[in-house]
Amino acid sequence: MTAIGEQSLRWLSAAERVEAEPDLAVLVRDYSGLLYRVAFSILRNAAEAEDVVQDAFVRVLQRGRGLGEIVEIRPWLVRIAWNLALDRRRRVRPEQMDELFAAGLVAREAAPDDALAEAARIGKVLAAMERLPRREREALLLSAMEELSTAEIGTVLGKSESSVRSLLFRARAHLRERLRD
Amino acid sequence: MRDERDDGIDAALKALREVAPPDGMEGRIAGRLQERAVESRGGSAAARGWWSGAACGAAVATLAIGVVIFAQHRWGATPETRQAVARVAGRQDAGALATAYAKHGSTDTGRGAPCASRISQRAHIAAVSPGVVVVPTAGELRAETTAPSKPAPELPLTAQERELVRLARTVDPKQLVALDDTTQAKMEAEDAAEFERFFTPPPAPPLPATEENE
Repeated sequence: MTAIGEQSLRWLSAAERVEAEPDLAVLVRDYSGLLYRVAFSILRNAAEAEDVVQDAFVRVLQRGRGLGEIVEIRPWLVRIAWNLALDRRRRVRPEQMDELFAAGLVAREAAPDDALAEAARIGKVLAAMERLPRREREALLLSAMEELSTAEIGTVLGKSESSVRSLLFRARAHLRERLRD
Repeated sequence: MRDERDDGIDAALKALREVAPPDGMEGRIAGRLQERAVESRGGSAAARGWWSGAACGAAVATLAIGVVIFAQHRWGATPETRQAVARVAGRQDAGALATAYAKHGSTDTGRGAPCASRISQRAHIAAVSPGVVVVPTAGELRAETTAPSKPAPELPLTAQERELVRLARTVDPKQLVALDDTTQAKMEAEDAAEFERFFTPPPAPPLPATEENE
């Protein structure tokens, strides 16, 4: 009787564990957009960013079981995509993509008169962003993602929340200075 | 205090924030992940099969090697092996050695006997049957290989010998000659004689002849 009870308990705990394991398809549905934006903010290239998202989920697949052990799944996924994008950045020069990116945005917004001026302004800001110190630039790019809180940005960058706030403040200040020149 | 620059920064960040993923990205990623999952499952099954086969093969090979080593250790060389290594001069008869063994009472009953006794038996056979040439076994060859070389290699020079070689190459030949005891003694004697000659007062000159003397 005791053995049967123990077996049932073991089976129940295993079933709970399986239930607690996040499904990969659900993860793709919920987080692929965010990961794409994160990767795109670094690479500014649609195809490369999509590859990064795919690679990130492949890493998750390779991890296999044990996803239930991860407490904060979102910063964990963002961190994977972030690191993969940084790796790819060595091959892709985002500066080359900024003009296309800005032009695409303006075309989508379809503002005929202001289109060129707006594209030029965004392109200028992106170019100035590239010249920021690395940590400041990374914090600023991650802060563009609405889904990520300051604490989660800190998790991705390996910094405390106050450090992230300080980095963001300095990044904006430096960016303003550079845009004035 | 916001100015145009802040607006520009916010516009750029907003643009990055509102980037839309390409159409069908989720489907493509899900399909690719499914393929990978199938591949990894198939790959792991194949890998499992390969590893199990390799393990079985390794176990069989190890067992076979162990059996061979044990048999060699326990029973030594078989009669077939002995026949294979024996050559009979003139007659080319591979069975002659076995015959010789049988003739001198050293057939398979000698299994397990120490190697030295087999060698002495072969020496005895060679003595009484001059036509039979016995090829040494692998053990004998190994012992001969590990035996000290004949003649022994030259020993390295001693410190004194090295010093002599150095002197012969660098020092003045006169000094080298002086190394000989006889020559050195002769030279010392000459030096002493010369010294004596130098400090010995010259002999008095002969006195002139006078009338008184006369």
